[in-house]
Amino acid sequence: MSDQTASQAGPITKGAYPELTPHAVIVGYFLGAIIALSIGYASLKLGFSIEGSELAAILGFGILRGILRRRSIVENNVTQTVASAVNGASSGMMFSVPAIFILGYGYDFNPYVLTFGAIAGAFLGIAFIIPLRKQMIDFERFTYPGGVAVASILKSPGAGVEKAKLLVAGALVSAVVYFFSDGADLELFNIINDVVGSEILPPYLNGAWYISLLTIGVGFIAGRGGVAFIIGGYVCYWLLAPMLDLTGMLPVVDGVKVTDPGTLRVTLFRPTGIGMLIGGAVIGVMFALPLIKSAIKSMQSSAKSESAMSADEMPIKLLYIAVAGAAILLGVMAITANEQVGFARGIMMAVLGTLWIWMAGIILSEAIGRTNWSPLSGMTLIAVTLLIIITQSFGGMDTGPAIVAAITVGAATCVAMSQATDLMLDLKTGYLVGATPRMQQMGQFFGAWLGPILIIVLIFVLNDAYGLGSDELPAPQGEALASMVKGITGGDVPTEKYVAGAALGGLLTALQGGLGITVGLGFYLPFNIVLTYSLGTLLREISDRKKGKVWSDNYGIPIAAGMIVGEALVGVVKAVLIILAAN
Amino acid sequence: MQMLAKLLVVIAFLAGAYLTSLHPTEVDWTAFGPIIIAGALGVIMSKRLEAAAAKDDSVLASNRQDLEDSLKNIVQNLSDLDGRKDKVPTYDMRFEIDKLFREDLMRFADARETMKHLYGVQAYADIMSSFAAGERYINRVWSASTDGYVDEVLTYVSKSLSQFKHAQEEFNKAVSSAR
Repeated sequence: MSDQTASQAGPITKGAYPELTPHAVIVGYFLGAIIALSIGYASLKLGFSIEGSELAAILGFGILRGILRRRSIVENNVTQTVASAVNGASSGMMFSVPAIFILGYGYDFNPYVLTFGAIAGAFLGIAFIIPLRKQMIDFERFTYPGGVAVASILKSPGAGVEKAKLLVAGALVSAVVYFFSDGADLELFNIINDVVGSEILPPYLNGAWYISLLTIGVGFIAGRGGVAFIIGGYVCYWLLAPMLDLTGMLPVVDGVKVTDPGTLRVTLFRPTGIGMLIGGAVIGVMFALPLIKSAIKSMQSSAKSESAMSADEMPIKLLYIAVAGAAILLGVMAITANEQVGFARGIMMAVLGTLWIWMAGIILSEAIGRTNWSPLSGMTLIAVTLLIIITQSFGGMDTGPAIVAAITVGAATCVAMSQATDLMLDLKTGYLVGATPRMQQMGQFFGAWLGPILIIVLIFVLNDAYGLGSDELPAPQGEALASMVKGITGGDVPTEKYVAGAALGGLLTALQGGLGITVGLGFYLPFNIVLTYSLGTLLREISDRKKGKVWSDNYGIPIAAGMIVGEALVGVVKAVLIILAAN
Repeated sequence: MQMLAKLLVVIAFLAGAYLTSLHPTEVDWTAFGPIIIAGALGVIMSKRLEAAAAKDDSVLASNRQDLEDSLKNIVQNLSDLDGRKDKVPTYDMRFEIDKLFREDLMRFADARETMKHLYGVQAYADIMSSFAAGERYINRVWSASTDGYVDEVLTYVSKSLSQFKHAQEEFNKAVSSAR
């Protein structure tokens, strides 16, 4: 490689454009390990999880360009892919594994089987995404707001100082706001009620706004793609809740009418939302099958003709190997998780787990592609629920072994889903910066093994130090799963609401692709997020109409991307401070 | 009529959502069932009307024109750029790309769904596969230009051209088969 200097812009380099290099992988490991441990800890402490791509991109940008003086946008993209692959385990495992400890079976499972299963699950999630990349990114061209934000970061130096300044300004404002707000809500309706002196706005209307510029930024980047998600939220709290009140059908507990929006969400709307996600996905898959089939056929024919683009992709054969591998691996995991599982149950769990990885992978990829929200915890809950139902077949297993087997296999599927979603975001970024999908997929494989090892060690260390589910480490997501498991083993699951929700979600998706999933997300998520998100959508609409789409692309998106990055960075810094304080 | 069909689905959805919100665990299926059936009828009506409109809609004709024109422009501009790529300073190539291609790429992408109606799903997949690869290569030229990698810029301008030419061939093939 020889360098010579151009008079105006910078050095001119001959030779290959660095992409999947040792620098990219090593920096990716370094950043991924820091981010995974920080976010993993934070999710046990605070109950939130952060997508690692934005952070990895901006930190990788600093290390590769700032310290190592390397100049390659696509190399930076691979670093971000490796790092976020490492981090994929933090959300994948923190949603599921702590539940085993909380339920009191922390030393009844084999951590080696679970870790190996999580690593293999991660690889399977990556392989399952191969045809979906073509369908969702090349054909359907989903927005993937997070992926667009990362691309804006990577392309900043090339787009001139102006865009970089906008991005940094957005990040600074967002960071300052989040630093002081700390994820609090602006209780607008309470303020109005206080000013007026009486309760003119009932609590169920839920006028609390989540103070988060990240959320506004995501809404801005998603644009009209997120409108159905907003509609879902408004239907729940501004239409259904008032109708329930007017018809005297709000739930009554101990003689008191329930008007708390949080309680209404958990008891009435969220189960329907989960059902809508499933029904929307099933019908969506049925409608998308011809296109997925065409994507596979198209990949096969370009592989046969050995065209340039076929060399850019991982071979489609990998998908077939992954499907067989997933079934065998999950079967082995289920059977070895506990001697009570047996061969028949093990096979059933394996088949279900394999199908669920694909189905949920599609749901999550589509949800995050359209809105940037990923209902991973809901998908994990469903996976574990179905697995536990299987454990109760053929005479039924004892509760302890049933829970351990279901969560062990569930953790592998959860990591698979998490990796699939993460990779789709990274692939969208890669598309926008011209990266080679094969290099990114290999980067994801390189990173995926490290996360489960780090996270399982972290879980055991923290459990020994504080106890998962304790006041020190409440592990809210693990608690939710544990409650669900207790409910199932006690026979308390809102199956009817899931089925009805599935019918509603299926109806909407049949009318328009993806509608059931996005409206279902509005039912599923807290309304304070939806409200703030709607501000971003509104701003985008105003910006497009008043200033034009070019202005939105050149100015609005860098600012919005900065808002996402700023808040996420403060989130990680806070998590690191918590770890330091704990030590 | 289409509006009526969609309204039927929306009303069925809202009524169904209301029914599912009446109890934390149970659903009144005798009321819920007919509502879902009404919604399904709305979906069937809507899909039939869409399919009918897809065959003789003037929007389709206009979209088809957009597809043809934008793809032709892209190939033409790219051929021209490929011919003079040695003369464009590496760091300026990204400005050429933004100026010459962004609008046509967007126009083609916006009209792409029409291909499903006109030429079928497989033709759509084959055309979009090549188009997307070509667009990704253009994006790579942009990135390499930003970073000053001259060989990569020159190579990928040509690769992108061959990909878009392939997309055009697939498109023309689909047009001929549809006649």
